[in-house]
Amino acid sequence: MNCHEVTVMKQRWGWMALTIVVVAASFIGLREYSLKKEAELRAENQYQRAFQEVVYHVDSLAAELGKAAVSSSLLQTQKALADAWRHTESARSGLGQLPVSAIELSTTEDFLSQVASFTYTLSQRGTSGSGLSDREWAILRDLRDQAMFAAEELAGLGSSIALGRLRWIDVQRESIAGAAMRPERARTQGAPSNQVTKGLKMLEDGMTRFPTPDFEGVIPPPRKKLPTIPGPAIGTNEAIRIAMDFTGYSAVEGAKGQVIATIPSEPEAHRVEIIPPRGSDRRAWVDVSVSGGKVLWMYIDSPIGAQSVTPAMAVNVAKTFLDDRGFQHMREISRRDYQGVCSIGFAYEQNGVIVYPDYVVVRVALDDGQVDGFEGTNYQVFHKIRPLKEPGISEARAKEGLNPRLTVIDSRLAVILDDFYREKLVYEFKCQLDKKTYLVYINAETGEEEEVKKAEITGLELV
Amino acid sequence: MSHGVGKFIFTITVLVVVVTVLWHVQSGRVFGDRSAYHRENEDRLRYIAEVDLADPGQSYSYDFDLMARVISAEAKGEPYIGQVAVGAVILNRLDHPHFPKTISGVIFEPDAFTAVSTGYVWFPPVESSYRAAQDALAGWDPSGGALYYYNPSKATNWWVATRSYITQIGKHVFLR
Repeated sequence: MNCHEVTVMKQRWGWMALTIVVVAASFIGLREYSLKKEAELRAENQYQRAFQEVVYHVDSLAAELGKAAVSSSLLQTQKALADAWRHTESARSGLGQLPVSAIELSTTEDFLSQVASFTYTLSQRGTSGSGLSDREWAILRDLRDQAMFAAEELAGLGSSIALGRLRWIDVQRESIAGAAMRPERARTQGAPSNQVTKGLKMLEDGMTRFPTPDFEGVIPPPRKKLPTIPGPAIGTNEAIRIAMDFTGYSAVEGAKGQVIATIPSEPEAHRVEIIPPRGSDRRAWVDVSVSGGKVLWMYIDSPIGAQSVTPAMAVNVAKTFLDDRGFQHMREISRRDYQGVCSIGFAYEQNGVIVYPDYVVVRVALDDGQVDGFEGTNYQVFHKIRPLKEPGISEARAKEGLNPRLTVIDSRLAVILDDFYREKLVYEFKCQLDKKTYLVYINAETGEEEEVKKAEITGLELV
Repeated sequence: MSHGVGKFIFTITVLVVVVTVLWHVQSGRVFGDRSAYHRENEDRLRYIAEVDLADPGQSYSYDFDLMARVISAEAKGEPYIGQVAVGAVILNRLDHPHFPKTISGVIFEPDAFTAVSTGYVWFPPVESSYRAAQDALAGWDPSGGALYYYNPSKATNWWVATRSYITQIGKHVFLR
């Protein structure tokens, strides 16, 4: 072998190796690329489907609202309204699957939510009631017009997506890029470049031009507005004192409390953090309402060890805790234990009537049997001594209103809140059907069934 | 000289073998599909299915498990009230017209939670996140009614300027 031959062989091997490496690398690259494309296409198809469903359901919604406005038969009107409700919920569900979290669509979303609430409330009224009032009919017509506009805009966007082969993936990319953008850049950047985003902005702009109908008293408010707690506004020092007393830290030497923030929650609160003395890791947080100085909730942080206390013992601990803090006449209504703690719900009891709006939750650690949590926002906001009326009908009469297939286990009077957050006096019947427990609420004035609750749905163990 | 050729061939062979092995690993043929945490998840899912059968009252357990996962992936290492606050944000969204009406709808809304977009939500959750999820369901809301939160050290989001500030817990800023 001479020097020349060796060089040639070396070169040959070199080329072969290079070829293998290049081929392998391109295989990996190609594979990665096609996997990525495939995943993107899947996501895109999902988005297309979700969008087409939004288009379809909003279109059907407009049609059903139109039918409801035209029909003279109450039954037909209610059928149309029930269908409209179904289409609205489906449209909302579809919207929630689109990558539009960075696009402002709040008017459109509010509209869908109002239509859902309106159509649901009216379709559930029962055939015994009267037809739509003039005011309700006027709202219905306004909503129909708005739905027709939305349907047209969406259909237009749908066809431009199909014709222009626009992709939702690009909308998603743009919105992620936009979300990561600094505010000053986002502002100067101005209009979005993506046609789909533009189309959605057009829809939203158009929707804001419609006046919002006055729904007062027609549909339940979307959220419970908590009233403010009566009483003078308290300062931070007062809040710290209240928090230290409530947690029992005022008796602990070396424990220091400080207000770490004043929070514009409902109701507004001073947040007190209590640092325990050296050697203890039981740090505490307490929210004390600014007006009235009531404890809304508290936590005492502590590692949870092995269980040594039974839930039944925990209930006694919780009761004593409430008694010591001036929560009188509290009745246990629910209990659940999880991950080494037990949360017990209590409602206020006034002359044997359970007042559900006034409830608190007390959490007891099952390792050392100490209270390490309290939640009482509802109680602190709603609690008062109510002028309770005598029930208009007897318990026996109310019982006649129950489904005869049920086995009644227990009954008592209670105050509950309806969808409009109005208080109602009811008979609560704890019933069983096929080994499942239900709570049935019969209005103590009218004898009508107000509500049926499946006891397990809430995940609470009933007591 | 022939010694040099051998060395060259050896190097190339090693290279090709390494590349091939790496290829197989990344395509999941050697170690399976990120098997370690998948196996763990399967165990957990089986556990939940058993709970479901034993106690029909636990029908919300999938949603609940999801909540705990999000809390764990988003707020692991935060103070306990910060974990409960993340759970409360999920529940506050449920009641709000601008968000889907189910827990899984809220959680899987595209780009709603970083942990879902990145896949961290599928790692086994820390134990305290289950307690935090339960507490959020029982009514605790340390977020003060927040609908959004973000970590200012990780992202500067333009929408932050359009939302009203409520409070900061640990690393998270909560907004409405």
